[in-house]
Amino acid sequence: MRNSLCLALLLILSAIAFAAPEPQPAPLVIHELGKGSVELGGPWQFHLGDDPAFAAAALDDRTGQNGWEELKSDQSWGSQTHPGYIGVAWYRKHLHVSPATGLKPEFSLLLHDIDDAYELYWNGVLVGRNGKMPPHGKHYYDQPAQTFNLGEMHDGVLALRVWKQALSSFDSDQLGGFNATPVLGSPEVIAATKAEIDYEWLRGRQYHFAITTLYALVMVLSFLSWLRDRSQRVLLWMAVFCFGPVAAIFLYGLRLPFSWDFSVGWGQPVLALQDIGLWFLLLWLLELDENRWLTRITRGIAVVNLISASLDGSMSLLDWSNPAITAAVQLADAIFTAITTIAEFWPLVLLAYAARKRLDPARWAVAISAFLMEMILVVRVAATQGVRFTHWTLGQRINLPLFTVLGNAFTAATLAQTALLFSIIYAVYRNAREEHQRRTEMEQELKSASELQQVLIPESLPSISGYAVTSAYRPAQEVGGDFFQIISIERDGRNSSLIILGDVSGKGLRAAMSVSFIVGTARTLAERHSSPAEILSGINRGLQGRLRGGFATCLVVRLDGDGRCVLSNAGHCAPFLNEHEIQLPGVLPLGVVADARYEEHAIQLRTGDHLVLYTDGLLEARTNAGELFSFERLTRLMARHPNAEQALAEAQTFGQQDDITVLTVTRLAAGAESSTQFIAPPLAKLRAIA
Amino acid sequence: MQAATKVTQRTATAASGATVTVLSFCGDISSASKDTVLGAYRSLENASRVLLDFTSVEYINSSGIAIIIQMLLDADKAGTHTIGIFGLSPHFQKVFTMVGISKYAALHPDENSSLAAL
Repeated sequence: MRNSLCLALLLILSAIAFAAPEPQPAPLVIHELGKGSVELGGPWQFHLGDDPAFAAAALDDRTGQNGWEELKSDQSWGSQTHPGYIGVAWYRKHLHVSPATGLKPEFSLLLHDIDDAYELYWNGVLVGRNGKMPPHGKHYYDQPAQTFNLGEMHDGVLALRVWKQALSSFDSDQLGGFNATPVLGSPEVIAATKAEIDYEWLRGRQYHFAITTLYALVMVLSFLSWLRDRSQRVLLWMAVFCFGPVAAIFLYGLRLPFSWDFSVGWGQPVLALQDIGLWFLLLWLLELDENRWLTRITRGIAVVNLISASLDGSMSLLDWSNPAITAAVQLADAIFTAITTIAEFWPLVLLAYAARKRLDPARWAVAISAFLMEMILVVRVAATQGVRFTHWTLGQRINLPLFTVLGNAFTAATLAQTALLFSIIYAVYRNAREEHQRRTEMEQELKSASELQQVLIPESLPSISGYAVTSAYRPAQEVGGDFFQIISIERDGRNSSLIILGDVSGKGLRAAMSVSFIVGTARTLAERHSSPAEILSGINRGLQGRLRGGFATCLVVRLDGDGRCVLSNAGHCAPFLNEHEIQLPGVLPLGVVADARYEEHAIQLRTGDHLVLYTDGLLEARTNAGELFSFERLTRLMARHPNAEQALAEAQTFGQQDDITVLTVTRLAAGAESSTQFIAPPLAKLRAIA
Repeated sequence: MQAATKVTQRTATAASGATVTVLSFCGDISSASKDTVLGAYRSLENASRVLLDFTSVEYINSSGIAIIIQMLLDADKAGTHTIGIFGLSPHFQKVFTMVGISKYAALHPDENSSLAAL
């Protein structure tokens, strides 16, 4: 305040002293400079166009002469007398400087917020520049204040050659040149002034930096989580959506020395990616992906949007200052931007479709806040398109701060971004909790089922006199419904063996419990019955109403010591005798019809005869391409008289889908030693599978 | 991943001149198909001649077979429909025969032979 008062007094005195008419415009008189700084306010001389002579100290730049006029130093030329002017223009200011006594006469100039690039001259000598002048002009997207050391100075003329790039679709016509008054002072004071300006900028961005860092974290975590489970597409699209603000802060928000062309050019596809991320995020969050038509259209619009944005961005590679192409480039920019702007309203359609759905509140919270965040941005960008023609202020008003905290402006967009972050955190927390609950329940069920299965799978099998038996069992991923038992029975002094083999439809604990019931019933019936058909009938009656719409196929075989073999079947795959399938009539499986009747078939096994029993896991092994093992391949396999392990291995290699059980029985010559081989994964491994 | 089951309904004319309702299934049939399959059956109402078309069915697991058995038993109990089946691959024709389905619905290789039989 004191400095200003002194200056004012000095100015008045000087004005009186220099009352005589001057050929040059009145210089700004600065006395005792050194104790502070002074804004080089007041009118500056201004001239459109470019001429190197405009830098010279001795030039006649009186107002009204040779095209020179006066402009205010703190407003753009676009908002004063030259709206929409692009190209080069010159500013000049005459200075009469007396440094404060005792101080070295070295001074610095602080320039900030000048559109777009400039060169600084002191008395005709180039002192410094920011950006690059045409041809091939280049300027930076966002620059901190620049300081220039002017060295020793007393009197002279400051000249600035300023270049404004051709206007893009969102540029207002009120741009160009100065937006803030230059400041002159001692190097220390100017440095301090710059530090203060920079500090205010940084302070006002803290919240934005913090939020963007959290978005970067969400992006990385989502992407990594998606890599672990590719079916969770929501996570991928969340990562893509979060990429937008993170990339944007690098391009626009950190004052990195990227050229305007680079920042805006890359900003177009980045914004498109953010749009696309939102659309697919909404599609998956709101369970709209089941609607094929909607998904296809979204994909189509996404492709169009990305291509359009990329083309729009790539146009910044062109030299807009080349007058031959400026109009064409601006038209192309307008068209591409129109395409992307229209596409950006697609989320409204998605939300309309989803409005009727009943989804949990966490999903809606994420969907709505993502939608709001995006649409505020979209509407703001859309409203500024062609603003130099429409003069709409909506775009500016949307961006006005609603309130400020510690210098950080909170706009509607900031609030939406914050809301989104919180809703994501909430949704993830809820999802993790539900997932954990589900997993615990599932693990519990699997544990119970596998414990049950371990009880049911025989640890060893009894040998059958006169026969060599091999058996192999391999469960599929989940606990399945295969079962088999070999029970030795004695009737009327004769020893026989009952082989019971079957498959309960379905998987998991329920199937395992059904198996447990069947095995228990079969063993109990075997104590009193040796007829396979009666055993089947007994199990069938017991299963009525227990299988809840499912069924159990079952084959019961009685092997007598003299080679007689009696079979009874309920819907199970017929066994093979040597290379031929035993012809058995089709019968409904167990548990379907209460009064089902089962037939018995007797065959005589001779020495060397090879009987193979199996479950449908063998038959329905499938390759990744969907080709089934099928009966033909099975017939060819059986012709080779495989043992159980060989048969199972072949199916496993082909592509196991379900539990596989194979049992082979070979009639031995009289006197030969019977053997039983049982291959199954060890119980510990069964636990691991569960 | 299993393809979800879809059903479409159309009519055809049997060799005898009678109207036949054809239920065409598409995709895999598994436990997830219960509502689709049984829902389609219930929509038949009083159609006396029904053909089940499995031409576009790639795979039926044991749960899927259980659903079809249930449907055929319901039809048998109601006594209002005569059901024929066609379009099964040779593998599944054998599987259907094995589980006794052929006692409740005639199995045919294609639509023409099934229409001729009705």
